Formats: sequence, structure tokens, C-alpha cells
Amino acid sequence: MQIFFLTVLLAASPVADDAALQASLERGEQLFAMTCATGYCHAVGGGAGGGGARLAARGFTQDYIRTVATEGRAGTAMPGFKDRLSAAELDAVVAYVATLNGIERPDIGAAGDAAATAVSALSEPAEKGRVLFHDSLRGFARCATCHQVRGSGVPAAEPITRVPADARELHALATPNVATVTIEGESMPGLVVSRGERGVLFYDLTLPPPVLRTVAAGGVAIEPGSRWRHADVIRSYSDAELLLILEYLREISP
Amino acid sequence: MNAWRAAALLCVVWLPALAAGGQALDGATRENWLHHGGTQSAWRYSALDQINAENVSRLVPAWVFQTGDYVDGLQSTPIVIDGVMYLSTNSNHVFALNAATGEQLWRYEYKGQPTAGFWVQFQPHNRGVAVEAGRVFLGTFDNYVVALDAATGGELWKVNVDNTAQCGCMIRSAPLLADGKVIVGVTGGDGAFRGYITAFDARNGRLVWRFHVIPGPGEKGNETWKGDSWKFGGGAPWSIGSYDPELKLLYWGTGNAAPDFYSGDRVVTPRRTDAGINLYTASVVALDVRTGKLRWYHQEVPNDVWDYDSAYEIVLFDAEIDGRPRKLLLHMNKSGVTYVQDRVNGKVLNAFVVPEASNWIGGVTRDGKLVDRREPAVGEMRNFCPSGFMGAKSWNQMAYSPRTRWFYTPTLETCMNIESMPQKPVEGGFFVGGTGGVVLPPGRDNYSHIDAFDPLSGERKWSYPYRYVLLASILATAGDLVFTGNPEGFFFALDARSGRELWRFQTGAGHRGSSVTYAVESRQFIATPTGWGSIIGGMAAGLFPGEGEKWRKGSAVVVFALPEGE
Ligand code: HEC
Repeated sequence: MQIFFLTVLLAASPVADDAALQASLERGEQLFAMTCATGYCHAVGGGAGGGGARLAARGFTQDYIRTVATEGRAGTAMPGFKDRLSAAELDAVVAYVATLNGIERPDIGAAGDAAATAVSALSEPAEKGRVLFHDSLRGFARCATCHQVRGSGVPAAEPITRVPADARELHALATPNVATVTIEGESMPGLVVSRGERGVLFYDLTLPPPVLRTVAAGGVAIEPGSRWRHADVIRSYSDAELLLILEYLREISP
Repeated sequence: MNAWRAAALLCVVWLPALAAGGQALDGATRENWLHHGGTQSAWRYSALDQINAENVSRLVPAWVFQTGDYVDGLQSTPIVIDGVMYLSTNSNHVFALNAATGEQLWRYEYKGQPTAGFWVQFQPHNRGVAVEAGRVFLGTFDNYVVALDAATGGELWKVNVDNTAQCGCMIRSAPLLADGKVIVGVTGGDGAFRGYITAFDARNGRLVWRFHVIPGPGEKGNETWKGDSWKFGGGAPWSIGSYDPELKLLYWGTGNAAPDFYSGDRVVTPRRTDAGINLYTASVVALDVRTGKLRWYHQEVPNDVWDYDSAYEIVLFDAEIDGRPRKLLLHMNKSGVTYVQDRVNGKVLNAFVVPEASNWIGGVTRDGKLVDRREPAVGEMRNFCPSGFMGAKSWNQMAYSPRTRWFYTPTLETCMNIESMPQKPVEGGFFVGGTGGVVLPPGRDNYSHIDAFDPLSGERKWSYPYRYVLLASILATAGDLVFTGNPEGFFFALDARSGRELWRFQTGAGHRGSSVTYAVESRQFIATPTGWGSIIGGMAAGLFPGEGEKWRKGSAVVVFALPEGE
């Protein structure tokens, strides 16, 4: 809800106000640190020392920075980022590098809106839930192994639309789309993605991570129902942890 | 087919008959180039000798295949099986080609999730596919392992290894096939990431095991990490391992600890520099192929603060030492320190320094102990050779010939200025703990060479100097030839015994990949990828202003043979 509110506010203002500028520059700095100041390439803060050129205090114009960042520089290791970053991300980095070159109020373009969305609008429990959902220390036992949320994770299951009320309801989750798929005498729990003339596409759910398999239509039998239980794949989480995850899913659901 | 040619094609490779344990390991390829390193022993050596030191000067182009994927050069190692070449490109396109003519049989374009913003810091690259039993396996830039039907290029299965939007990792290496499993590592070790190797069942893509380079709480080795630092301690095994089917052991090199240049927050006892720090980073690990369980390890750079990952290829070979037949391995890491070990138990039998510019240590003892380390410091830029970014060798692979019993490696002479800085990790974000840049060592007129070394004595047998940096793999053949290419576009052959250049050909673009050799209907072919690229390639070009700009990009395979009818 908060995100929506912020976005509307920014979109409504004709010129980016100080808060939006501040937010996009912070985002730009973060993006720069992650994408450009790799040590292999540019140095932290655009200073000297990286493998690539110093970027601070070079007297670059914002247009020049945008051109190089977008298209790259032929004959050097500098790639163009137009396909690697979103337009808003590019605007934010370009604006940040502009400030390193003495441009105090750079044009932030599309970065204004994006910076607003990037501002964490999650409540504290939901933020904990987000981290748990993606918890890499659990390996394949985390939710993100089969679910994609906000572009992060593997979209094996359909997007989550109905968020269970509590952990008990999540444990008892019905999985009507999981069928029993039989290939060459071997049966397995499968989530069918498509059935066409060219073949059947399904996720083999035998054990995480799910495997997307393509088989010839003739060689496969599909029967509704399966012994697969959703409760078995979320066992690494305590009920308390599941509650936090559900809070996260609720807060981001449209 | 000419009968004499068929007879001449396969020479008998002399291998020392081992007193105990029977036949010595044969890591040579013949008409097929089956694995990334030729065989699972990673010799990058072929027993074919139709093309040899006598006739190599008559080599001519047989065909050229332009991939059309001009993203960032071509780093691939082609695989050739029964007259079909399987080739992958940086955008994860896969081609099946008629290996005798270059005719395209099929083409597959991987459709990944669009690179997710800032998490994917490096360009996607791909170093090759693996092929077995009618399936082609590809690791993708968004961390999938994909199996294709080798006959049609149609997808059979695909499985995700990690969440690209989160891990800051990707798969660039070719997978290794061993014991019915497809085995892959990942990049990401210069970021806040915890590296691992994963094995999937080649038939159906199901997970078989995962080995975490950094042990979790309660596991042996976790105590070598300070506090929570193990969670994001790097150690990405980003290249490919080797396999001994008799011992059922998998050998893999692991990456540097993260953050690369600052270890204050990850080591338990500062100033300790002996073995067993931040396990199992910068190590060679031997894993049981059936379970992924660790059998032994050897840490080459305890408390790595130079980015000297040990991720490179591991060459398996057999030899007699003190009259006893031994199963051995050979491994060089970015620091250029090279180890010969007993591959049954990991015991170090020899260690020596390959590059000439080496000032980070005073030396290395025969049993592998680093002497007189010099380390980077906070608030001060210091100079170290070799450079951690480029390494005394890049990932491009060396070759081993059982005829000379020498190994052949490209060796780079570059240095690096490093200043370390404490840094807090953000998952999947860069985590280098400092800043640095590659520089050339003073007082030289060549910055790389191809060297022939005797692994048992550590003696350099010959050296072929080159002005710029060599970033392509070496290929050795029973014709007593050594092939590789340079950034200026020349693909060339050296005499394996003397290092004398015998032949060269301008392919039109710089060399950053791995050449292979194979035969179709008794005609031997030598195939090389061409196309300059990559961050390291760009960095190398930047070291030679006014000259490096001339190294051309591209993406083609150029294939050579002796003139038809000869
Ligand atoms: C091994 C794969 C896997 C893992 C791990 C997993 N899920 Fe699922 N989940 C599924 C599949 C498959 C479905 C869809 C079943 C169906 O449609 O029949 C599903 C469905 C759901 C649904 C119902 C969505 C809807 O709109 O109907 C919710 C909610 C859900 N999962 C939450 C979670 C949470 C929370 C976690 C982590 C604690 C998790 N899942 C972990 C596979 C998984």
C-alpha cells in the first residue's frame, strides 16, 4: 500500500523534489557500487585504482556519461548497459556519476519513480518474511526454489494469488494442479505447464529443485491427483517463520 | 579414404606400464574430443599425429563458421563426437555442426530471464557444453542447467541452480560429465556469496548432491571462519574439475575467499598464515563422485588476500617417482605456484613457481609451503606480482603431453596495485574489500610466454616469449605440436620439443578460447574459436595503449587440415 502511495505522489509532482532526487542518487550510488565499482572495473566512489578509468572529477557532462554508460566504449572493456540495466536504473547511475563530476542537481529521468518503488515499503515482520522466503542458507528448501515473487525466484508454480491465513492453512494447502505423470513405467508428481502436439512440458516435483521436462506426447500418461504434499517441501521453516513469510506475501499482493 | 592415411592417423602412444596398478592413465583424445579438457583427465592432448612437426607448415583452412553471436568474443571449447561439433556461445546459443564441412545441423537459442539488473555484474560468457549419450548439457547465464537432444537441439530438461536475482552468480564453465552426473560450479566469489558444486542426474536433471565449498555450522572447517563470515565467504568453484573413474574421485579447484583483499572480518586468528584458514577456499578438493563428500583437500593459498583463486583446471597423470608408479595431479593457480600431488591422498610431492614476476612470496617449499608472504594493507597501495585479476595464467587451460611428459602453459607477467579496505557484505553484491588495478612489471619487453615444464623436476624446458598477453588455451598433439592463438589474431603451432614456431595463420580476430583436434573419416582437423572479448581481455588491451585497441572481436570457429589428397 505504501509503495502505491509514494509512487502516486511522485508521479503527480511536475519536477522531482529533493526527496526523489536524494532517493535516486542513493539508488544510483548503490547500483554503481554493485555494477561498476567491481574492482575489476571502476573503483569505489569513481576514484582512481580500479582496472578502468577514474570517473570522479573528470568534468564529464551528464549526456556524455549517459552515452558511454548506455552504449559502452568500443575497443575497451566498458560494455553498454542498455540491455543490462532498466531505463530507471541507468538514469539513477548516470545521475550519481554526474554528481561525482560536480553536477549537483542532475536530471534523474525515470529514476524518480523507480527510486520510490525501491524504497522498502515493507513492515518489519514482512521484511523478515522476505528474507526467509529467499533464504539462501536453506538451499533448495526455500520458497524461492519454486516460487517467483517480484521477479526473484524460480516461477515453477503459478504466481501466488491466494495467501493462506496462517501456518496451519499453509500446511494443509491443497495442490489441485499437481498430477501423477508416468514416463516409461516411472511415476512422479508433476505440475503440467503445457500439453501440445510437440510434447508435454511439466515440472518433475520428485525432489526440489523442480525439473522442467519436455517429453513426447505419446510417451507420457497424466493422471489427476498425486501423493505430493506441499507441507513436505516447506519443512525447513518453523510455524513462526511461516507467519512472517505469509505477512510478506500479504503485503506485496496486489 | 586413403588407406595410408588411416594407418598413419593413430600413432601408438607410449605409456609407462605401471608395475603395480596395471595400465597408466590414458588421458589422450583420438577422433573425438569428448570432454572439455579432451578427456576427464584434462590433458588437452590428442593422440592424432597426421598433422605433425614435419607437415604443419602446409596446414590450410578447411572451413569457417560464423556464430552470429558477437556479444563478447568466443571463449568456448567445441566438443566433437562422431563427426558432429557442438559449440556454445556467450549468449548461450548452441550449434551442432558437421565437423568435416561446418554445415549447421541445428541451432538452439537459450531464452533466459533477462539479466536481472544490477545483480548480474559481469557479462554472460560461456565456455562450452558437455555431450554424452545423445544429450548436450549447457550451463546458463541465469543459472540453469539445460539438457538438449543431441539429434535435434530440442530441450529435454532444465533445472535451476540458484536465484540469479539474489546470488550475483552465473554458470560460465562447461559442465563436467562423470559417473552419469552433470556437475557444475558457479561464479560469484568476488561477491557476497557462498560457493558450491552441484551434481544432477544426467538422465532426468534430478539433484544428486551439492558440495558447499564453505562448510556450514557444525561441519568440520566452519570453525576456520570468523563469526558469520562463512555465509558470504566466496570460494566460488567457477571453472571445471577433473575425474578419475577408477578412484571415483572428482577433483575441483575452488575460488578465493571473499572479500578478496581484506580478511580482517573473516579470519579467526589474524596473522596466521599456515594451512587451514577459511576452508575450503583457494584449494583443490577431492570429492566422492557418488555422494559429493570431501575425501581430502589441499589449500594452496591459506587466507587469500590477493584474489589468487585456485579455480583452474586440474591435470591428472601417472608417473614413476623414486621407482614407484604414482597417480598424480598437476595444478596451477592464479599466483602461478604449481603443485604436483598424489591424487589418491592429496600429498604434495612437488611445488614450484612458474611466472618470472613474482613478489608476493619469497618462494615455495617442495612440499608446498609458502615462504615470506607479503600482504596488502589498509590505507596503502602496494604492488604485487602476479596480478590477482589476470593471474599468472587466466582460466585458459594448459596441456600435457605423455610423449614429452611436459606440460605446456601460457604464463602472464603482470602485476597489480592493491589497497585493502574493510567492507560489509550485501548478498550477491560485490565484495572485494579493496581496490586495485593491473599494471605491467617494469623492465620487460614481453608480458607473457608459453612454457614447457617438467612437472616432476619443476624445470622449465623452453619458453616462447610474446609481447602482449596470451589468453587462449593450449592444445598438444602426438604430432609433437603445441597450438594456441594470440590477441592479434594469429593462431600458431610450436614444436613441442623445442618451442620453435613452425606455422601461423591470421584468423581475423583475437584468441580467447580453446582449440581442439579431431578426425572425420581419417582426416585430422584442428579447430580454434576466434573472437576477442571479456573483461580481462579488455583490461589486457588497456595495458597497451595504442596497440590493444587493434585486437579484434568476433565469434567464429576456424578449422584447419592438410590439403585434401595429401
Ligand atoms: C518444491 C517446490 C515448492 C516449494 C519449495 C514451495 N512451494 Fe509453494 N507451491 C508449489 C507448487 C507446485 C504449488 C502449486 C500447486 C498447485 O497449483 O496445485 C504451490 C502453491 C503454493 C501456494 C498457493 C498459491 C495460490 O495462489 O493458490 C502458496 C501460498 C505457496 N505455495 C506458498 C509457499 C511458501 C510460503 C513456501 C515456502 C515456505 C513454498 N510455497 C515453498 C511448490 C513449492
